[in-house]
Amino acid sequence: MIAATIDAAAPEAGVRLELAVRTEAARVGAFAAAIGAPEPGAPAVPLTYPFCWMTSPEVRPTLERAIGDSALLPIHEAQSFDYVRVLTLDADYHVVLTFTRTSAPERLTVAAAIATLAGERCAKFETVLRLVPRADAPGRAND
Amino acid sequence: MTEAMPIAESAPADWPKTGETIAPAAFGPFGPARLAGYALASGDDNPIHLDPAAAVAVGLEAPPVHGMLMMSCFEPALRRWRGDIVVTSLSGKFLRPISVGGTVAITGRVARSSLAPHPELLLRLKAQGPNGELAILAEATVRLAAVAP
Repeated sequence: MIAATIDAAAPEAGVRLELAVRTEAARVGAFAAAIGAPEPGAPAVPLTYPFCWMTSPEVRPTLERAIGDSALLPIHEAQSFDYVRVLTLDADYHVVLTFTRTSAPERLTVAAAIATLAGERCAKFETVLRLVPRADAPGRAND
Repeated sequence: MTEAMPIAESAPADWPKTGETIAPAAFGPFGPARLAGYALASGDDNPIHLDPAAAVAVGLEAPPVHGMLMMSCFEPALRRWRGDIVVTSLSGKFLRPISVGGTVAITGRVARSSLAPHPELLLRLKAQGPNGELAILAEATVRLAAVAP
C-alpha cells in the first residue's frame, strides 16, 4: 500500500508517504554483498539497509517531486539511524516518510519511521540532501 | 518476527573505558565496479557516482564513492573491534568526497562508557580517505549484545 498526502494544515512539514516494505532475504543479501563481505555474526539486516527504501521505485516519484527541479542533483550531507528493535529477514514493515524542502541553501530532508505491521516502533532514520545545480543544465549559467 | 534489541544488563571485565581507541579498519578500494554494484543493490543510482560528466557538472573532479557505502563501513568496523556489541544508533556528516578508486579507513574512540542501566558506549568515529581526508565525522551508540551473535 502506498499513500502520499500533503499536510495541508502545515505545508512546511512537506509531503508524507506511507508504504509497506519487506526485508526480502535475496535483496538484503545482495545489499550486504555490495557493501562488503558479510562479517561473521553480523546482523541479518545491515544497519544502513533501510536507506534502500528511500530510493525504491515506489518512493522515487515523490522524491523527485520534492526536489522539484531536474537541474538539481542531490548531494548527501548528513544521515542518521536510530534503532529500538532489530529488523529481521523476510519480515513486513510499515514505513512513513516525510519529505521537507527548504531553501537558502537548497535542501531536502527525509525523515523515516519504521514500524512492524502491529505498530511496534523499530527504527527511524533521517537523510539530509543538499541540492546542487548542475552546471551543464540548459538555461543555467556555468557558475 | 521482529525482536527487541538483544542487549545485556551487565558488562564483562574488558568492557571499554572512556578514551579507549577503536581498532582501525580498512575498506575498499571502491572502484567503478564496486560503485555500480552498490548502485544496483541499493537503488542509489545518482549519476554523480557513476558518470564522470555528471560529477564534473556539480564541481567534483571524479565520481565520488556513495556516502551511504562509506557509512555502511562503520557497522562492520565496530564489529571487527568487538564482536559482542550491537549498534543502536549511528549518525554522520558527509564532509568531503572520496573519489572512485579510493579506500576508506575507519577510526574512533570511546567518548563515554557507561554501565547503568545497561552497558553502553558513545563512540566518536571518522571515515578517512586514502590521503587522510576526513570524509565522514560520525557518532554511534553501541550496547553489549545479550548473546554473542
